[in-house]
Amino acid sequence: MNAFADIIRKWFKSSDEADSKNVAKDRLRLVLVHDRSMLPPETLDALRAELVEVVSRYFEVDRATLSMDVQRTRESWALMVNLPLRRVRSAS
Amino acid sequence: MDGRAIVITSGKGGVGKTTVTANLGSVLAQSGCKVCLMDADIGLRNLDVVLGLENRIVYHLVDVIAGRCRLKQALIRDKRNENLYLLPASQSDDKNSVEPEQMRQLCQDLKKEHDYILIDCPAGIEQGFRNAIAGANHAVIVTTPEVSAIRDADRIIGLLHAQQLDTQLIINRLNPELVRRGDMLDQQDVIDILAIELLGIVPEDQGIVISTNKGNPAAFSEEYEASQAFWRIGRRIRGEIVPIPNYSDNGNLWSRIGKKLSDTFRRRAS
Repeated sequence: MNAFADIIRKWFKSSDEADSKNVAKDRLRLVLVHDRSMLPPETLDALRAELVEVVSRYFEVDRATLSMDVQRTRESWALMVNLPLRRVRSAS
Repeated sequence: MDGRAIVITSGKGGVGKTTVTANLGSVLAQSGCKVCLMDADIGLRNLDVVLGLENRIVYHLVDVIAGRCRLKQALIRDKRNENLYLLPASQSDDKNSVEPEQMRQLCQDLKKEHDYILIDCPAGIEQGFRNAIAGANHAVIVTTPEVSAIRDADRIIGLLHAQQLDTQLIINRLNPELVRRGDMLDQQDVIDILAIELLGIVPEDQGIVISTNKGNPAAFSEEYEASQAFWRIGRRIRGEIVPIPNYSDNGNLWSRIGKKLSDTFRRRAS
């Protein structure tokens, strides 16, 4: 009988009244994008050093000009790196 | 013997870690495995009362680590099943009185004598958590299908992966009625969000409250729905393949017809 009552309830539910579990799921997805993007500063420093090292194998760079930022929007996160190059490192 | 140490953890408190630890210990012991339940919640011990062994404590985990007694002296053998042992936590010390390295050694020693060591981890992500996971080979994360518990579970999963521990999930206190109504996240929702292997689901069951009141874990009696869930999980831990019931399934004809009609109705209304 309970199942039947559920059906009746569902039947009369208006279309903009979403199941509360879907609200929960959407809210969790957004909050986890933010939580998962939290980085300890040591990690960022290590990443910065390694990035410069890798790029320096191919280009001459001034490591002081490197800017690096983790950008978060509501639904995504991205690593933005700006590293001006001086010239191609000649193959030796 | 070369046993396996499994830490039962969650991040958030109150989701049922201790109950899960006690009941899984009970089913594994009843299946013939030698099991040690370790209460790693130093300063806030609870596993002893859930098991009904609170009056039998003489020595505890911190006594063993400090060398005030031998390991065997601190282990309490359960009278309901003699394969089951409890290593209680201290109630007077604090979590910083133990180091991860000491916990690792303690787990090594216990693994020589037991098939399974189930470690009941304290809530939180501080020293107590680091101690509890130090000696573990494997982690089982307990969550309820609620936003706060799932969020904390996600944080814990991240920390465990950083330690290279394998992880599996138990969804505790799932209410099939709420799931059917669309008012509780179902197993697929939780797995989609956490991206982790599911070890089992324990449905919400008043029997857990009753058995905890009595200090006799539900899994020692067959009458409760939750105890059957614990039996299935125990068999999976031992390597058997046991299907996980789908609690969001609207199995009967009436509810399927109803769902179809309500979907049609909703589409038209929008």
